[in-house]
Amino acid sequence: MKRLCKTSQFALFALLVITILVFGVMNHDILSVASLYSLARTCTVPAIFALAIMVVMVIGELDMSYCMIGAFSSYAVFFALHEKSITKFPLLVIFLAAVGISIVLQLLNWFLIDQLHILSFIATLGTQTFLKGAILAFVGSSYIYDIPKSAVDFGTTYLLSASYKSGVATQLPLAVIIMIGMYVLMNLILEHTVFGRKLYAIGGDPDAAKRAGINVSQTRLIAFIIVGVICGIGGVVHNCLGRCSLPMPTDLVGQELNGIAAVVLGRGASQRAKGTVSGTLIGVLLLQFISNNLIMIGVPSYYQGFVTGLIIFVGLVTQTQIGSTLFSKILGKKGAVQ
Amino acid sequence: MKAIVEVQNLYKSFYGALALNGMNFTINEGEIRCLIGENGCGKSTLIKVISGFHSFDSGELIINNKRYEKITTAEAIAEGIQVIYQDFSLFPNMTIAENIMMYSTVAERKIHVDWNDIKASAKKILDQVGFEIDPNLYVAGLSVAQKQMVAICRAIVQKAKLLIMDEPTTALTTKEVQRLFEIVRRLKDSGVSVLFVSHKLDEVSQICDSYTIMRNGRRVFQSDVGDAKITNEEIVYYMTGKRYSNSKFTYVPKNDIPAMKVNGLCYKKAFRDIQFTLRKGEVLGITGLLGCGRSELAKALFGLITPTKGSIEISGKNVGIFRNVEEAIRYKIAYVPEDRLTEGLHLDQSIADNIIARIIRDYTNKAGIVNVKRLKKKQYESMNLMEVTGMIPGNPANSLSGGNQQKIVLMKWLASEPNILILNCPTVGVDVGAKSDIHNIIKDLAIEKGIGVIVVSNDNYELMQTCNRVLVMKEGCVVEELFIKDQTLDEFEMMTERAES
Repeated sequence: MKRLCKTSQFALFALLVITILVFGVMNHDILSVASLYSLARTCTVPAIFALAIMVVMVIGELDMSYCMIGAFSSYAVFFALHEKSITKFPLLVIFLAAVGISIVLQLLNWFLIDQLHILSFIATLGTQTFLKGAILAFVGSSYIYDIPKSAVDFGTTYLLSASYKSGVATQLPLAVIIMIGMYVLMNLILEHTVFGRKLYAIGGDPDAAKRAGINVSQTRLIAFIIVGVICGIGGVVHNCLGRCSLPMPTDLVGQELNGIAAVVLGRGASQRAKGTVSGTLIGVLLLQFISNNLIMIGVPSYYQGFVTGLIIFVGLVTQTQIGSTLFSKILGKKGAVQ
Repeated sequence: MKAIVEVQNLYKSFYGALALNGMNFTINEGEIRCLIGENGCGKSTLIKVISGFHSFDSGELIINNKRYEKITTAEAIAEGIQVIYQDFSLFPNMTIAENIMMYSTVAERKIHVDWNDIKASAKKILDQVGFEIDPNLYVAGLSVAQKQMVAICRAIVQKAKLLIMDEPTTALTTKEVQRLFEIVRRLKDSGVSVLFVSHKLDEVSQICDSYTIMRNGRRVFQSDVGDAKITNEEIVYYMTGKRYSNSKFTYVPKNDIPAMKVNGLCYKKAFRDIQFTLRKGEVLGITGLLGCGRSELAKALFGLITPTKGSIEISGKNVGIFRNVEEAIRYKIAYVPEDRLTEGLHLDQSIADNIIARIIRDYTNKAGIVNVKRLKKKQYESMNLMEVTGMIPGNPANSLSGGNQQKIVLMKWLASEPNILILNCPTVGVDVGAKSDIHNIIKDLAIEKGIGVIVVSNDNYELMQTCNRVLVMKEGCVVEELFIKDQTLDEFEMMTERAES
């Protein structure tokens, strides 16, 4: 417990718990199992995408195209199947195809950033705009009504279900397992493999990393491939989970900043670690919990952006040196949160 | 004597410019060698070639009797070559322990990271060096000296045979420098060779066994262990290729109205009851140990900090104290700060724009529109005031070396045609050639333009060269007034030391 208090995520975790409790007091339904399933369900896709941007941020870059890349690759696959009127198609191949396209697009980002030394923010903004244009011009812009059965099944397979007192039922979808699996795997890679530490080293100082004998270009290349894999999976899961299963070309675009906000919240204002897997997950949970449940405690939905922004500020302030001292005083703990 | 690294006839060019032009260099086992040269002479390039960071065009590189056509950083590390760069190449987002062990972690080519081993090994090294700090702290929060210690620990873990230190003393206090020297000597005793890259001559002669001096990408002088030490004048000659005359400054009284008279100036605990007069055409030195209040005094004279008591007279007129910089500027005072990187220049802006940054306000009409034609003329005049090698007005200020940057700071302030010029440590981190140039400029300003100049410095040589009068401060008070006549540097040093103790 003592060690837990000292981790940089503790303040954020405490904030999450406090938020849940406050919301829970105002509406008891929020503390129900049904609410938990609903949270898990809505978190799945944002969490996968937050993981993608986290990897990019760990290596010290920024990506404004990751959501677009996920959406593009998934839509492209479903569009192709739709054009050929294929209704029976293995889910695994759908995933592999989307991941393949994502990887290629992330390699384009890698080329722009690593080989041409273009500022990552600018380069990926370019990729995003380019893809948005390309999908409308060459692929399509319409809803797809007939996605393969395997994908529909995947999206509607539920592990558990529960219902609110009002009788409204919520389900825990299978896709949650995929999301959790990705987090566990990424945590293992980043914290416990030399490759993961190399990513942090590059994020800390690329020149120093080169001097340490790290092949920076190659390591970045693998990182972008990983990001591509995550984006591809994220895109397909998003389309499968969409309630009506209607892939739409650009519906993920605009979510980029939410992912970045989750990572920033998770790493704390100190920026020491550039991003951690556990912190990112807590960040996503916090942001998603608020946007899910504000309406349930009677806050009109147009306040959502305002409250989310407020929580981001609180999250960041509690993690600064001064903020953490204040915070631990409030909690009555002596050891300052690092 | 066994050579660890031998370099013969090495050439390396960047975009057509030769950085190494037939360089020869040897360093043997267990010696502390100093590599000296002016900025841009190719020192850094040589280090980077040896450590595998840059490839070389032609020549021979022999490390531990093995000839390399090209060498990667990983190979150089495997050969026991460790470089501590000026920026230390640490990872701010990682802990001390992980930083110390990072090179080994990468080199071992394992998949899994053993955190327990990393923490234990790091602790062992920290104890061995005698550096007491929690290895779980993040490097981002450490001081410069602490970061340097982490970098040294990291090098030791690598079983370094040759430790290359690039300008290791630049950001350290005198005490920290002595501690560093102690560790360097201890390393030498344990059989590690140290290549000390520096241009601080007094420090170099304290620590080094042998010298290599570079100029224009070439070796111009090499001495070996046991050779007689060469004098600083000779080192300067080899570095610059020029003999500098040691002409002192002689003050010719102009008139009796003092440019500035300070009466009983006090500021918190930093200094109290400061009293002095600065005449026109005079160069007044202010010296004293670190923390004696000299830097605060200089700032107070320019309104950067507001004195708590006292008054200042400008040209015989009492103006009270300066509450902000604008007031000081109104009385035509100019101030060249200690840290030109953060206080003196807009580094990414062009040199030309930097020069007019201070005076642009004087070239506007009532509507605030700049009179470009007059401004350009002034800009041109200012730039021709002194010689700056390699200056292209459109290039950013950080394209210049430290010494030339300092000249730009001077130009910027001289453009405002000051009556009083305050220089706070004007030649810190400036190499010898530029240093001498700056000293000549200071003297010319006093003689030709009759500007009253205050030089705040702890460099006795500098004070001897430029001033006619020096105030020695101790614990916030002026304790001694020395007149520079024909004492030698040693005599002058003894006088200031006596006053300071």
